Amino acid sequence: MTVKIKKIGREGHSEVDVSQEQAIEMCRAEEGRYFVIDSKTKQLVKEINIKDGQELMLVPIIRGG
Amino acid sequence: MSEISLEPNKKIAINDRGIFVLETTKLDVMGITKLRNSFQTRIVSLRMNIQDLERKISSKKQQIANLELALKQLNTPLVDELIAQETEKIRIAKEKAEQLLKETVGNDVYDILQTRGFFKFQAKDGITYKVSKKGHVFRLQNKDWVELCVIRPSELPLPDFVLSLFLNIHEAMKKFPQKHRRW
Repeated sequence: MTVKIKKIGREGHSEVDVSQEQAIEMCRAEEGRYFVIDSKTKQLVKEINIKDGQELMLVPIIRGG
Repeated sequence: MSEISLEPNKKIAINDRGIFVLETTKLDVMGITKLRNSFQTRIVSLRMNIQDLERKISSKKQQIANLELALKQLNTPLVDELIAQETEKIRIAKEKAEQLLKETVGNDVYDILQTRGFFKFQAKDGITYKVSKKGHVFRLQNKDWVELCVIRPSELPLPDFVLSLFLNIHEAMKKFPQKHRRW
């Protein structure tokens, strides 16, 4: 089982299949710049809740007000 | 034109440009020498001016030559090919981004975005927001749409930015605090 991650970036989104551990590491590395969304539920995901078979999206954090 | 003599060395001249008093002075040796010096100084000064201008012209010509060379280098088939590759990359990125936006917000919302130019949604805190397809975001405040100030990362394709805006506002409300005016 793997975790599918779509990362929104400058050349369109890139897609990668990684193990659960790698997914957690990847999300941790992007903390503060990206947040993690479950592609199906569109809900925020904490990296500790990442499960095998999940499809995630790394979305750049945009600030405003 | 008419001339009227006033004194041996003074005349009044009248012509279509006006009325003039003309005075003639006999030059002595000293005067001639001074005049020679004055003419010589002016000649030298004008020559120096010409040299300065020639130097400036030469420098500008060199600048033109450099720019022409640089332009020539930017007009090579290799550069054209790179431009074509980059343009194609951007096109593909935009296409992918549109697809992802459509998949994420759903066909109905995507169609609304395409036809109306914006879509509305309610964030987790209950406030209604409106995101336009050009990447503008508005918050419904006292029955008015107030535009929020957001900074678009320049390298992000527009549909990806619209999607990011939607997900950011929908999920991470704290990044878009409601400002209160202080009087």
